[in-house]
Amino acid sequence: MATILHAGLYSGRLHVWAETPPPPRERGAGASALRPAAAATALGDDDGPPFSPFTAPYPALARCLEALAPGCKPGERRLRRLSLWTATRAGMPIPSSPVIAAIDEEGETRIAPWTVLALDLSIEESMELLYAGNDPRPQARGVGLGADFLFWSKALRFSGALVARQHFLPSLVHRDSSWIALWEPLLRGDDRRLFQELARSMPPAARALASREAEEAPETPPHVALELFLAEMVDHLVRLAALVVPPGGSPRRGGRSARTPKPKAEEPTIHDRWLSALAAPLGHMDGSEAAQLEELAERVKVWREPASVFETSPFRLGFRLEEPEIAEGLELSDEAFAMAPWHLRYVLQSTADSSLIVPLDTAWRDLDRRGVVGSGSLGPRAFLLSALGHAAGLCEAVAQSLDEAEPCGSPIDAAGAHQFLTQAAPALEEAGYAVFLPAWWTAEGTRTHLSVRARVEGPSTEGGGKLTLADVVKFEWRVALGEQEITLAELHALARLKAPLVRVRGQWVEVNAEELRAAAEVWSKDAEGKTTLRDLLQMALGSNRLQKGLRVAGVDARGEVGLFLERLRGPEACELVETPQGFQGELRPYQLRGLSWLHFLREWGLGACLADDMGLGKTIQTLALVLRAKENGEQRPWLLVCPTSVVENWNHEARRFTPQIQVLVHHGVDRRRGPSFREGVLRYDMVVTSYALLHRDIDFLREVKWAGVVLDEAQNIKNPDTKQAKSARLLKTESRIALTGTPVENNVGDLWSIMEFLNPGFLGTWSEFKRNYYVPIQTGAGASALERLKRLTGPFVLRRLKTDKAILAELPDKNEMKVYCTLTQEQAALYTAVLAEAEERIAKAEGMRRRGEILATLGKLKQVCNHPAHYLGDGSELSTRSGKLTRLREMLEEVLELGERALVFTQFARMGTLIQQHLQDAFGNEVLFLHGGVPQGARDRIVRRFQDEVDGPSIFVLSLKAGGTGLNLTRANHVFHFDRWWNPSVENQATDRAFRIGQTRDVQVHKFVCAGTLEERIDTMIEGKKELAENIVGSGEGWITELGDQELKEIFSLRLEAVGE
Amino acid sequence: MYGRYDFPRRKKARPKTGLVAKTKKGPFAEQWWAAHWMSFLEEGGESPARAAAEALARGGRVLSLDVEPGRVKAQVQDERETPHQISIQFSKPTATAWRKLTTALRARAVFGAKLLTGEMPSEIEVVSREAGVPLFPLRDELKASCDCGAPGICVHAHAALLLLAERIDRDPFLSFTLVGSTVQELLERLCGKSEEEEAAAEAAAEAAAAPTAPLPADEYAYWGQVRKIRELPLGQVRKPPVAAAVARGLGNFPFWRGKELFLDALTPVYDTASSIGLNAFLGEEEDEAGDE
Repeated sequence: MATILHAGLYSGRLHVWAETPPPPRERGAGASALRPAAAATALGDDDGPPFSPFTAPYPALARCLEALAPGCKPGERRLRRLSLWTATRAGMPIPSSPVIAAIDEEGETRIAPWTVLALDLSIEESMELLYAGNDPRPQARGVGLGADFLFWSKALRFSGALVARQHFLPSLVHRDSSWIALWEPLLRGDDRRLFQELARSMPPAARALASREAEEAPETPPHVALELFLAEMVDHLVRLAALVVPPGGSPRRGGRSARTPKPKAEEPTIHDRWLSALAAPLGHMDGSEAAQLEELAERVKVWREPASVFETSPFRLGFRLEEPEIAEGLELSDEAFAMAPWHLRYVLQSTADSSLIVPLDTAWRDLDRRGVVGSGSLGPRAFLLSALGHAAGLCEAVAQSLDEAEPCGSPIDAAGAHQFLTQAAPALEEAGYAVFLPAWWTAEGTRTHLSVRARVEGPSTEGGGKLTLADVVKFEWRVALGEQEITLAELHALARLKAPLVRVRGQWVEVNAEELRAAAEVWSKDAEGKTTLRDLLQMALGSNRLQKGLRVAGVDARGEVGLFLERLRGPEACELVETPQGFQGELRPYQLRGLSWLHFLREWGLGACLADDMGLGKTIQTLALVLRAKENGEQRPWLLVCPTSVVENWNHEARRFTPQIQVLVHHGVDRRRGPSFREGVLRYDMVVTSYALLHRDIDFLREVKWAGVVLDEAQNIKNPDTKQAKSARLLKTESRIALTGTPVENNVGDLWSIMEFLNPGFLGTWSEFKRNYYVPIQTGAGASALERLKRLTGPFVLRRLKTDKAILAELPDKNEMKVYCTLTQEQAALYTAVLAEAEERIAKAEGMRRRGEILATLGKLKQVCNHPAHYLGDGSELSTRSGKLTRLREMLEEVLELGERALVFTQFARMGTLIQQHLQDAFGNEVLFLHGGVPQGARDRIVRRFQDEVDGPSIFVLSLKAGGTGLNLTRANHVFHFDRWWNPSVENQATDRAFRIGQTRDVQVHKFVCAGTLEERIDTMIEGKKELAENIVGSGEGWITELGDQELKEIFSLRLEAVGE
Repeated sequence: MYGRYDFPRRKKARPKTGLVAKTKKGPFAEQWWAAHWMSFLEEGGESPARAAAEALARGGRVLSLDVEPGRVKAQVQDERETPHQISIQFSKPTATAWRKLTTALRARAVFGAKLLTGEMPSEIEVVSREAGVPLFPLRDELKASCDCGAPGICVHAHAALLLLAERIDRDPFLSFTLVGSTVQELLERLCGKSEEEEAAAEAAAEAAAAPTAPLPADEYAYWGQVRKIRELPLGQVRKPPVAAAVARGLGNFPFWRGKELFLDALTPVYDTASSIGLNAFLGEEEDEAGDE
């Protein structure tokens, strides 16, 4: 059942409630009849606003919380009945999504109160629950999240960001007749802008909870509600820190411990008590004299005054470091630039428009013109002076300039500039000043550094023969500045300058004595080096480890090693291999490039991640690789691991494209195990199994030496701690391949686990990776970390998009694919039962009755293939019971992730309902459904919403009859045929809803077939006689009724090995 | 060491309301501005009178000390039944002297910058003296009167002045009040703000306090869009290289009297909070890292 979780602030605390569709039997009844039974009995009745028909009762709400945050269990005692003032039409509240209930479009909309059941959360519970909002795909956990919930989740992250940036100050406030020491967020500069943007984006639903007694709708402005929330969260987070490291020492010992009898122990002052209260859980400062507290509060205010002035000022003071102008042609030996003057210029930057920057000399002149800077209690001059005064405490150059009446800048030398870049600038930035630094300066120093490059000359291996990654390569270290090597004379000149920043060959370079010494050492005696090719490869890709005390800027190699490094740069540089001889069909040019790339990495024993878009043929590129290996004499079997739902698809595609490959489907209860598996497996070229069995059978799977291991849908191992990920890493092979259609590079966390499987150790341990890449990238501060990570992983990840120009040219406009699905055990059992019963009856019947029986059986079997619930019609649970539905959901996940849209055709209206229901529950988003029962007006509206609405639903289910013709649905570029009509022209017509004039992209057509069932056999028959198809099967399924008993039996029978777990 | 000004035993119960010097021994002034300010008291060097005054000040015998612009009133209790009433008058500079000082302070930004950030600029002693504003008074620039009738600065007035010096030690700007103008007034002269500006600021403050925001009835606006919320930017997040820079930028807490220095006490909190905040931003309970 679809559930959408919501959150709102009520009396300063976060309250969560959930929307869920009303029980079916009550649908359509009046609002009062819709009161959830559980709620009414549990909480009694009264006169407040009517119950919302959509509010989830406590058990459902608790389940939501359990799914999102297992530790968040507030318990039923904290269930409150609150008024939600919400958009209401025709006497009913309007749900947040049609997933909850159909929305009546007629009538006037107004805001009215409805009672909802909300859980009052503690601050810790709020935090844990809101963290779940970070997960980009919470639907996977079966709970949809409302925009209001996500808003608070975002606001929590913003609080975290403020605390991480240390933008908060201690404070003392008088509240509810008691004095409280607390930590307050400080919003200024960019934070102020972000705050305003957040407040503007707050969904009104996030501030719509009120007491049931309230007679008017809550009207708290968004920025007030947000401020309240941020204040709570920031205070909480900082207090956590203060508890760990109490300011002013640990809290005063109580009177009991008289063991340290300090007779004249100094009485803690009011200031000491304030510090203790800042670290106490509640922060109360009772027991101190009121007058003293008032005085302290005043002092706190005075101390903070400049911060609040800066906070509200329309301008902020900024500092721009300007490099000296150096005449062209100056050589390194010239000392002119060591002495050349730098300048620190003071500017004012508008907080509203960061591109508006006024130099301070202009600002001083215009001071008397109103409104240039004006702010604070003392006016613009005071603002400028105090801003400069505070900056002076952080930057010596500023302090020195204050001897002038109206300082506009400060001249500094190279050492001062370096000091400013490394120390003063970050401090000023943190304190809220704008800082403008030259483009060549990054968070890690100058872009170019004194570094070493490894130069590999000529033949590399000592023993000769084929080069491998384990071979030791000899090379020579060269001192360089980035890309360019430098001479000894230049190095000496650098050392003589003794300046921390020097300009060499047109670029500024940061040098320090240690690096200079290390570089001189390399020059004078320590230039020889040798290491394995694997390490050299890492150096070439820039793993950022120090060598000889210097950074490694790269590797310059010739010969074999050079060629190897060159080819690693991508599929374009790889030597093209030929399509394997036995390959049935043709590889498109880009597929051949993919094959060559896979082959190249396999040759070198490097793991490869093929991440092509869905529909570009990852399967056949992989099969071609396996076949090529076999043709080149590979004896060992390959292991292919994939989700259960695609096991049969692999089997099928292998039989079709590479029939020479002997495939063992390692699946089902009667699969071989242990020694029997180990012996038997050698007769096969490829073993296909599922992730579940990979873990269960790892004991003997790990004993086989595999020719290669392929993980399909490799996002299954994105969490390195899961059983399947751990098992995958245990497999023995020299060649590893990961296939995935989701853009791995978008989730840095997932990347590590996949790379750890492919090339163990390449990205370091998880904690190293987290420190070096994950945290910097996630926090937005690691542009260079991201760049480095891309460079490091680039050679091992190949991702091509359907939209790439080169690919586009090679792809047909319409790309049809069969998708072979696996029956579940339950489906297989039902299938067998239906068949057993029908066979007898068909054999007995004759003529029209026989035809009728056959058609009925055909229908039932197709229903079983679709879903057990479709056949049983019992409204039972939907997930994990149908191979087809699981596969559909998996594929649509990819479609949604790419931001594309899909049509799903079925010939059964009832199955359409089930698909819609399942997908809505799975994705938490609306799924459209068009069937014969939809009246014309609604039909037009649904089509319009899919085709024209900006943020309209992405998935559209249609019954073949109602939606197969006439409509224009070109916004979709995926068409799924969930079940089959066996009539190509009917299917093509349906496909043409998307594939027609107005379609700007290539259309992917996915035809679902249950492997090992009548669906597969009929499909094969039709494919076999394509030219006759129109004539024979033109009328749909009628021709089947003409078949003899034996033929029928063959068609209907179930191939058991195609059944999944 | 108390000598003849020691108190008879029976009167040792001192008045509860008395002001007690913070310093038990040593100088009353620790900061240069207070030390310089009270230098007129030091002219006599160590003397029995000085010792007696110190005893009164440290013994809680100064019952009250009220500072008004240009004047200080105090009550000091010795062995006499009724406390002594003391009044100290500081000489007021002329308007010209104030103007001269303002001009001199304007000539170098450092004065305004420091005064505005709660610091006493060291050069101000020379500049104020040249302008004729006795911020650091000479002995003849103040007149003390006491009902004990003793001429000049009597021991009672002396005790009051010692406590005044201690106050100046904590609040240097008091020296401005003593010559008849608060530092706030001086800063206003220094930085000048027109009435128009004040009106504009008030209007802006009023506008900022938006009263209410009604809920919109349109359901799309009401529920908001998930995608829009997900795309909201939160800015760059990193642990600042300098801990507690925000607090440091504000300078030391005025007249801090904690066991530990204010900023030193706060720095570890800022530092630790940074990591906790980062985890909250990343959406993690706690950092499970720790090197493997």
